[in-house]
Amino acid sequence: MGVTSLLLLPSLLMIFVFLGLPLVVIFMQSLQDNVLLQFTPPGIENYKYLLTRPYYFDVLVRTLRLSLLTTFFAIPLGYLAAMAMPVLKGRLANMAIMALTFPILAGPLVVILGWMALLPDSGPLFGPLVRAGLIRPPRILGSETAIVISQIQFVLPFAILTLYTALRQIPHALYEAAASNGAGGLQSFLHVTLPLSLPGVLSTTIIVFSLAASSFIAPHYLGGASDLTLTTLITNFVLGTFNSPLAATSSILLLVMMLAAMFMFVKLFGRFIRP
Amino acid sequence: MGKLMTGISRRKTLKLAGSAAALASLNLRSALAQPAIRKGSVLTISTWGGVTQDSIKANIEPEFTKLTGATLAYDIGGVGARYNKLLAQRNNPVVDVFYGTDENTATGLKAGIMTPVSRKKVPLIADLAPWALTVKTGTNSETVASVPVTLGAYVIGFNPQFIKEPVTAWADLWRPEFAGKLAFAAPVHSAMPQLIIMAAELAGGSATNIDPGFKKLGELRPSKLTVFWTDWAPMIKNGDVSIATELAYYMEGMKDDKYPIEYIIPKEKGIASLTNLGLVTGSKNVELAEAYMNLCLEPAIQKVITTKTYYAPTSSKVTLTDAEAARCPCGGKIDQVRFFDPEMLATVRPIWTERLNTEVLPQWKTR
Repeated sequence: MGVTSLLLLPSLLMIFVFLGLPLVVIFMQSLQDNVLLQFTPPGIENYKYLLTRPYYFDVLVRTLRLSLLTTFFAIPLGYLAAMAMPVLKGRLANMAIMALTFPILAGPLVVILGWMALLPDSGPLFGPLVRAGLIRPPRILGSETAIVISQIQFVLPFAILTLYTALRQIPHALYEAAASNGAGGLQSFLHVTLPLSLPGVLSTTIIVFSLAASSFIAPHYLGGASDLTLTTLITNFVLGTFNSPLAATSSILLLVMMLAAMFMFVKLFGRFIRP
Repeated sequence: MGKLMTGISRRKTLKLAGSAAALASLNLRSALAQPAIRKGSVLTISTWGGVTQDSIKANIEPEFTKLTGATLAYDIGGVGARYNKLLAQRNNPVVDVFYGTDENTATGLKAGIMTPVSRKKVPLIADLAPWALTVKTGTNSETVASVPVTLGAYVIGFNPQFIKEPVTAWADLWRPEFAGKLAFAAPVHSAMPQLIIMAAELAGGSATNIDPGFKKLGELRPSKLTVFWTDWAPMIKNGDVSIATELAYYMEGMKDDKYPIEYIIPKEKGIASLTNLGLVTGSKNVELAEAYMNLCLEPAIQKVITTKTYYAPTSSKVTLTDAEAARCPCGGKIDQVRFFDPEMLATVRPIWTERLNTEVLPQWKTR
């Protein structure tokens, strides 16, 4: 084992002890019987139960839908912003970096509390328009729309910063070569920027999707009580009915969903990424 | 879940702190149960934050330290999270006293994480009102399952500005004018099984014939599901919500904070909500825990808690003025509150919550 491998050891040990082992425990827990489902453990009855009940299947589909929507909007928005970043100079560039990192510094809870104040029908965003009779009460708060808007806002800094790093790695000489061959802005983008930034887009997509799928605060505070996602469902099982096996099963389903999505993204982008 | 505490207001916190001074001059009977002075010892209590913790710090902790020489440490959070923590720490608990509902006591005793409390070691249990001891398992001539210290009532609140006809009953929640304007308990709310029974009775069923309750609840049209008063409080101001189910003591606090709110105890009776102190199995401070529990039953302590936080006292030795009694489910109003069997609730809760999630919630389509 080389010195380089030894450097990896502490991190790998940390991941194994504090991530791997808990996951094994959760998986074993998901195979146990519980107050709702009596069977001889270990068994997969909890999985069968959650996947065959329309209510719980809807929770899974909703989580997938909200995460995909968040990713769908966040990636192009992030890409545009990341492209604009190098153009900014001096104080403006610093301010842009500050503005992008502020939501990360403030933390999601603070940001969500802001949304809770902003989004009610009588709030500062819609209140004046509703009172003036210009729009009907939009009832955004407590809807999937509120969750998606909030999640996009939350993941956007991560998307921009990751994409910005990817775009900066494209050698400038390639743009000069494209220009010397008569390529315009659009051609340069289509034949240089876009293909060479696709690995960055892939990793950003995976990060954004994972952040959205594992988001708890946005669906909890901005979503509807009858529109649970997998994260809020897990909370209900843990804190509401003390049903650890079903909470563990929901957690594993969330993990499987994220891994499946990751696999799908790799397949999708892999076709376009040049070796 | 219904008691996830946050501060009601700065003013109220200051009022709570001020009451400590009043208590300091009282000659507490808990001295009779005084254990050996345990200077430097720490009793860890698991409780709600906000008003509950403020109230303990202001009114109970100074007297407890004076009495025993020990101090308090707090494990703060919602009851679900704290209960799960207790389960996880069952072999080596860090908590000595657990604040929860009587249903938590029932499940805690069954799970072996709580243990009955000696009547002899907590002599003021003898002064408890008969209605307060709701958990039968562990309650006998020697012990009680846990020590009930306060009573709340789950009732109906409303903004009078948006009410045309008087609200008098649980049945009124189904009035067409409240469709889309009702804030109702979420399936995981501590009062939910009781509400299902109420609904069943309104529809001709009962606790043992519960199907009509689910059908009746499916006909309700709530606009907001809640576990805590702050979930709906902003909406009662602007009319997004005009009526809500909630604990009366929170709504008394809302009145203090100038919310446009009134409440009634429904004619079918309000739902009792007892706060119980459970003795954690394996506690290394049993003697201190018993002293703490006894102190919480002191009439002087009970009275201060009642007047500042609007819970009803569980000790029959507490005397309240008419004005004080008007703001809690006290005196004659006890008869307007219904006590359910917590052991039965603990048994049915998981299955009924599941039925609510899968049968009723899809019909509500609430936020």
